[in-house]
Amino acid sequence: MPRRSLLFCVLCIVGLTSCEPAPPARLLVFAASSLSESMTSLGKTFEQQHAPVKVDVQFAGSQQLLAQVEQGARPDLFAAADLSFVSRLGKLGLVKESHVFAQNQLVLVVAKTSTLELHAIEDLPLARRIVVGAKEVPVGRYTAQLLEAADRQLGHDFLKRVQSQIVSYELNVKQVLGKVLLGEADAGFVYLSDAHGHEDQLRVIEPNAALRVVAQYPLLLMQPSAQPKLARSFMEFVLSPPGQQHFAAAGLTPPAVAAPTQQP
Amino acid sequence: MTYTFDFAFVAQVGNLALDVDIQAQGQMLLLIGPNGSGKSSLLRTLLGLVPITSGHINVQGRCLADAATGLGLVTEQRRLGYVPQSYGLFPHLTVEQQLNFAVQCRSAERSVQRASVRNALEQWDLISLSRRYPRELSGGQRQRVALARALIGEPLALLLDEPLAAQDVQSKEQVREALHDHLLHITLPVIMVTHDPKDAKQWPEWVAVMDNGQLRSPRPVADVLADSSARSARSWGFLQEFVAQTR
Amino acid sequence: MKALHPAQSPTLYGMSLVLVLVLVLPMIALITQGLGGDALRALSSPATLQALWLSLSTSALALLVVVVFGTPLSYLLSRSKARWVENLQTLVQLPVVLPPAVAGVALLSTFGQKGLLGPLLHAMELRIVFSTAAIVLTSVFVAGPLYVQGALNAFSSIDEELLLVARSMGAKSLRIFWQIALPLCRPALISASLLCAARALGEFGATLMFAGNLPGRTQTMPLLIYTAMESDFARARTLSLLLLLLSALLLALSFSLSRKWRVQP
Repeated sequence: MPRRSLLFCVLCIVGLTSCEPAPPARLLVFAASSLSESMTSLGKTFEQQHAPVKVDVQFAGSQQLLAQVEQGARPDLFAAADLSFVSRLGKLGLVKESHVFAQNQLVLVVAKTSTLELHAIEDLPLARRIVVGAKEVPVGRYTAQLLEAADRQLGHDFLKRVQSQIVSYELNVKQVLGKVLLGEADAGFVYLSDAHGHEDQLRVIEPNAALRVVAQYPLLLMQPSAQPKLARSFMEFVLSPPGQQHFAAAGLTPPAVAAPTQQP
Repeated sequence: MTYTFDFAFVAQVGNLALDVDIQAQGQMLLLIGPNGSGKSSLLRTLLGLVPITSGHINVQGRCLADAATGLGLVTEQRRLGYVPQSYGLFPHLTVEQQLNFAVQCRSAERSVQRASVRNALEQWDLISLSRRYPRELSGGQRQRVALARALIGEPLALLLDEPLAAQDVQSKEQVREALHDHLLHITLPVIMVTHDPKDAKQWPEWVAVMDNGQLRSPRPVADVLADSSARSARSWGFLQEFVAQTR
Repeated sequence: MKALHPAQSPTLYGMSLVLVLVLVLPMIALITQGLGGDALRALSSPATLQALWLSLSTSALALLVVVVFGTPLSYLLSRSKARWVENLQTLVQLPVVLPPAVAGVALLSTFGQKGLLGPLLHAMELRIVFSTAAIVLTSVFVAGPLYVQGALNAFSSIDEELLLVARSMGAKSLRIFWQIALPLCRPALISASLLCAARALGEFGATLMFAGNLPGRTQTMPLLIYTAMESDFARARTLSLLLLLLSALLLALSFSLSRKWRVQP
């Protein structure tokens, strides 16, 4: 191809590409998987209000998301399933601010079709197959917390008897839910928001006040960020009443009145 | 001592007509024909791999297949000794084990089996080779083992498929001589398929020519030569060639 | 005098190098980074030993099941000339290419409480999900076809002449299978079973869904590694290295035997 026409082509291409409008601003949000429904719908609403901004939400276990950040990922915001992540990410110097934006109560779920007389935490040893989260994931740690408290309150080797009936330590709260729904497990510990929407198949048992364990969800504003202003407006939206609607719709409860960060 | 062969062998797909009566004792039939004439198919039909659609197969008075009555014995029951082109020795068995295998298929009694094997080893001069594997044997030795193995089960007839094709040029003559000697002592009917005229030199008795899937009745070589009504130019050319080299 | 082969094109070398790097670098990374200070402690902890024992024993058991029942299957598939046999072959090979999640869902749909065999198992008071048996079952499902394929190839390549001769001697099908086919194919069968064992050892996704995660009963090495990743990445790396070395050993054995397979007739 003669040199002059080649040069002409190259100039055209350069010209054309430089005439394109700048790509839309993007926000990257890491969120715990128990927030999948609520954060997705909130993200879409935010996109509509701030068009043509795009919000990418990555869902995974909080621990997995932390591992990604440790290996170099830099989201603009991080919505974790427990407060320990505030200090763990803070230690890396990546947290600008954090606020608790929702709470989620740990509940016991039993399949409605089950014939077992499970109506309260005390009845748990009756179950022959119990599924809980592994201690490596937040829901597993909360469950352990609850069971230990129950052991102190109820005595009679409660914890031992329950542990002998545990058949699996799942790595994801959705897996716990799934096993109970499939009928493979008699009972499992999940968040209230997970049971939300499955009331026709599940019986939800809320622990009494003394045993109640509530997960606090912190939203962390991360630094450095490519879109600090945009990230801040996202955070403000999450904490605002219209934003909170999304979490309520998914079965989460609003944060306790004394808002900001608590160290675990 | 006669062969009665009545072939009307039409090798079309799904249409296999064969009338074979093999009665002879100690006589060998040479089956010659150019490549692609159907010699291997004939052997496979005799062995029972291909069903016949008309005719019958009788060997030494035993009916192996009869299209009229629908009878068709499976290969395992036909009691035909078979030596394939490369001798078909099992690579993982010693000479003695090869014979053992063959004899186990026929008789159940251990003592009878052992006696048969010992006999065969002696008869075929294989005692010194009894622990060798096929890859350690020469061409002639392999032939002996293959023959011994085919005959140890006391078959009704022996089928040889191009027995010398696998030999290299240097040893071929030697092995042919040896084969001739071995076969002299066999009293079974023997059918040997070959395309090598030198084989006919050794056994110029009964020859049957296969031509395009058709088989003409066996007769002495002299008769074959005299017959000028060959069916196809190819076959006639082959035959002339064959005969010229046989002289 | 130098060899008379022309040198291979540098372009070909260059392109090959790309793939070699992609395949080999992650393993090198594991080796160099996985041998840290705490490596020994991670390797000798009770959880590790438990998981290792579970992985090895379930893989061995799965292999046994696959070999005992898969060998006759491969033999029959290799001997048959019917058309529908080809379809059966495709069906039997399918589990190998299924994504782990699909395999997990399939197994749950078969052996779970609400599965196809659910009522039958319930009546027999057998619960497979969450049991060690579930691991064996999963391994048979995902790794079995690897053995069947290898065995099938081996049996198919037996010289037809040998089989015909054996039949002419009066050997029945079972005798031929046991005394001719099996011994002739032994190296190839061993090679295929090592491949199957390596796959079974590494099985993770479907196992997690179908068998669950309970130390001592269902927490195999891959599961332990995945769990460890949640809290201690360095530990996960060390354990991954262990599994990598085990698998490499099995694979190397398999290849060297398969080279020996080119047996002289």
